[in-house]
Order: sequence, then C-alpha cells, then structure tokens
Amino acid sequence: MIKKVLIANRGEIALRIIRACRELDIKTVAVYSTVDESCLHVRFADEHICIGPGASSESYLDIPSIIAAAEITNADAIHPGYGFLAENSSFAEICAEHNIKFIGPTKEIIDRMGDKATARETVSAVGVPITPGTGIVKDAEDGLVQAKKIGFPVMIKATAGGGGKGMRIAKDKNEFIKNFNTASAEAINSFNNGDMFIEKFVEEPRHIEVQILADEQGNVIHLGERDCSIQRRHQKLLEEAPSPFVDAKMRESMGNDAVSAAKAANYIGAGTIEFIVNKNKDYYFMEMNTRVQVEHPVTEAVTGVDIVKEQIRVASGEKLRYKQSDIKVNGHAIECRINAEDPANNFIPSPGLITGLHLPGGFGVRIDSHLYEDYEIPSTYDSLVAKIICHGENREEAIKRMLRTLDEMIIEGIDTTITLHEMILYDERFVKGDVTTNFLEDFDFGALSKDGS
Amino acid sequence: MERAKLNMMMEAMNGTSIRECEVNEKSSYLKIVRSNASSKKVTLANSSVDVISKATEVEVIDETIDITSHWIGYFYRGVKKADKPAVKLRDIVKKGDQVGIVVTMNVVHNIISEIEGKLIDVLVENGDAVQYGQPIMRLG
Repeated sequence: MIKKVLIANRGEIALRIIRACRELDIKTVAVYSTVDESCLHVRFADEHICIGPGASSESYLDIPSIIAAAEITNADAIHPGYGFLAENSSFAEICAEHNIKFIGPTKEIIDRMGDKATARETVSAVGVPITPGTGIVKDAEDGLVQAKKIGFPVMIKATAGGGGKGMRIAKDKNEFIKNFNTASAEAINSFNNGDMFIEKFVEEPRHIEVQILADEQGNVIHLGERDCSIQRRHQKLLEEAPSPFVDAKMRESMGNDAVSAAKAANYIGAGTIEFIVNKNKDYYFMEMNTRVQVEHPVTEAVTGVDIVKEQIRVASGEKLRYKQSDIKVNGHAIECRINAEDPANNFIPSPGLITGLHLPGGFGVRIDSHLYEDYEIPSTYDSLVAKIICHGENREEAIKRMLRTLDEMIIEGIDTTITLHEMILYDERFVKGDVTTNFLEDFDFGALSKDGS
Repeated sequence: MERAKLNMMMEAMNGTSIRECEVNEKSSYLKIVRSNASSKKVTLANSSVDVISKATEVEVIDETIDITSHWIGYFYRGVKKADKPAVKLRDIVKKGDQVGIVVTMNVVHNIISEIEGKLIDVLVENGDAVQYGQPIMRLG
C-alpha cells in the first residue's frame, strides 16, 4: 500500500484527498504557494511544503518543485486532483521516472485519451457510438469540404481542447472558415496544439457522463451516470445522479459502452466517459476525463463507493473491491457548485475576505469546502469555494433538501452563485428534468438581485 | 480591552505551552500566536485604535534580514555538497556572493545572496531539507 501521498493541488479537492488518505492510514503532504499559506489543506495535512509564489506556473504547475517536495518528504505517491497537472502526461511520466506513483493512469493512456481525435478512434474501434465526424483536418479549406459531407450545423473542435476553449459552432458554410480559424488560433494559444477536427453538432444536447473504475488486473466497472447539462459556457454548475432523462435500458447500454471504452484504452484508475445525448436518446462519446472529477460526490452519494479511496487502492496495485453486480444506485443526489462569482454581473470573480460563514448540515447533506471564517479567497485561482451535495430518496426530495440547504448557507464578504442555484432549482424546466446544455442561455441573470441573498 | 487586563493575560500565558490564544469581545478581537519561548508575536484585528496602539508596544521588532531559498531540496553550506562552508559566522556577505547550494533530484542550485550584511546565524543544518521561501541565513 502507498504510505505517503503528496497532494499536488489546493482547495476543496486537496482536502477531499487528505480525508481519504487519513481514513486509509496514509500520511499526507500538502504543497502550497505563498498566497495559500493559510489554506486548510496546509493545516490538515501531516506535512506541508511551500513550493513557490502565487502564480500557478511557478507553483502548482511547476513540475520540478513538486517532484522536489516529494523527494524531501519521501512521498511515494502523488495525487494530482483535478485541473493543474491532473491530465498532464509528462507529469505522469516524470513521476514514474522518479519512482513516485502517479495516482491516475500512465502517460500512454493520458496521451491516448487526452487527444480527442485519438480517443474517438480508440472507442469507435470497439463499437462505442461517436458523433459523425472527422479525424484531424489539414486546414480550414479541408475542414469545409468535410463539414459539407457531414452536414451543417457542425462543431469545430481542437483535439487538445477542454473547457470550451478551441471550440466553435458553424451553422453554415459562410461562417465556417472564420470560426475554424478563431478556434484553431485559440487552441494554439491555450494548448500549444492547433490540430482541429469536425463533428456533427448535436441539437438540444444533454451532457451525460459515466463514472468508471479500473484496476491493474483488468477489471473495469461503471458507477452509473451523472447528468451535467446545467452549464454556463461549458463550465458545469449543477450535476445530478442519476440522470432524469436516462431510462433503465439506456443506462445499461451507456454503462456497458463506458466500460468498453475504458477497456479499449487499457484504462487504470478512476475516469469518466462523457457522452453527448440528443433528444431521441441517441448518445455519442464525447471525451474521456482521465482524473477524478469535481462532481464525483454525487456518484459517491448514490452508490456508497468512495471514489477517491478506490482510486488510491487501485494505484497501490489492489484489485477493485466491487464487482459490477455490487453497484446499486440508491436514491438521487444533486451537487451545486458554489463559486466566488457574481452571477448578476456576468459572473465576474469575487475573491476576498470571508467575514461570516455558516455551513449547513442535516440528514443527507454533504459539503466539501475549504472555506472558514476570516479566510481570504485569493484572486489567483479557480473560483470554486464549496460543493453542496444533497442526497434524497428520490429527485423530488433531493431538490427540496438542496433548497433548504442553500437557504441555510451563509457566506458573507463575497458574491456567490447560491441564489442562482436556487433559481435553477425552482425553474419549471429543471423540476421536470427537461434541461439541455442550452438551459442557461436564455436565463434571466438580471433577476438575481443582491438584496435577496 | 483594558491594558491591565491584557497584561494580566500575557503574564498568565508566560511559561506555558500555549501556542495560540484568541479573545473575542464586543469591539475587539485579539489573537496571540507564540511559536517558541524566545519569540512573541502579537497580532490584532478588527479592534479599536486604542488597543492597537497599546499592543504594538509588545511586538518584537526584527532588524535582521534573511537569505531565503528559491528552491525545494537539500541545503548544503559549501559550493559543492562535500565542501567546507562558503561563508562562516561573522563573515560579511555581499550581494552576489554564493552562500551555499540546494540539491534537488541531483540538480544543484546555487544560493546567491541578494542582500548584504554580517552573517549572524545559520538557520538550517547542513543536509537539511528546505522549502521555497524558507529563511536559510540571517544577516545583521
């Protein structure tokens, strides 16, 4: 078993990993930048090492500093969390070279599944449906020829893309060239890789993903699906499990396909197969995330499986402790991401001092957060400050429970997305489970008055 | 809070192993952090101006300046791992002088002083692990 884990991350996910390690009697090392000295992960880890100044590029993304921190603390494993270095295949490789276990898949797997065009080929070869589309196209003109074959509207995507960057819709041939070039330039800027491919654009799309777990012995199971259709500019805001749109037959089929996709990639660890689903319940593979995801707790709530602990056990070489038949989905769970942002003001980040804080509790409520009173949220990093996960007997109860939890939650000193979540949960379309990824496009953010929160 | 009350509390804590003490009152908030017996740090926040001015009298003012590490790794005082110390106590260190090395993954980083002064204390032992920003040597 792994003895000491260095957590190459910060915020709530660093705490989440420390908690899992403590329950497994594994020692922890927190790394932090100079602006994060007062963070909770620094306080709760067994050891802590300052690895650099505030800028991520000189601290949480600085591979030599993180490896050095592992060396001086004798950490035998590194958990990357999500974001930062979690899907950086060079980092996984460098860890391996230094005999440090990277808690995640190998460099080869990250490369195979991280490159969207290669991932599509890999899963399509084992019969997992993919949206009609192309491999890497040569240039804008080549793309246009292929887009005409697929039929407009199309999605122009960067193979290295993520979080909506390097991605554009082209409704017709007239806007194709311009949008292709914009997306490609963005991809070069953000990912240093301008390779593009074209996909059929799915109308009224839902984002539904399947959590999988795989061990080194070749066992792969899935833990059911999560519906993450509530997004703003491709950033998820609210997730739930199971999806109100998925029926039993579809669930089984998607689960089996997710397992096939993971097997095709020789996957090891925790991962997510993301599907895009159209109104006719046809689903297509979108991409694989080769890490633990922000929204993993909703799956934990309904299955009772501690995904982070399983991830660590599998990384230690242990066999999965669950068979597919052991996995039962129980009730319904919803997660609301509370961000330090002002939804009434175009979601501008709202860092600052937390002057008052009350985190609610009660039956079926879980809060993963690194906040405490008098903590100052730096402007340097991600705006996620808390995840509220409510579990109920059914969807209706989960919604009710989330509404009462949001009502009890008090965060003073900064703007947050709490009121926005309340509006979503009261929205008739959401209550009916009738949501697509376009849900927030025509949402009235102006109605978010600060006086009410 | 009254000065007398504050002093009484400070006295009461002397010689104890208390590392932190927080007092919340209607108009003031006092937090005392003591890391070891020889150094005391008193910080006050959200308190009245009156309390702040009195509290500053007990703050320890540090006139020394430290050379800190820019790297994470093992510290050695020589120019090479096995060398004798590059600088000795009471030496005058100038800007640009090498005062030691930090070794990480067999890569040697030179520690170059960005400040000037007399070396009055070496804060880490030869071979100790150091982190980013950690004070290594104190100049007076």
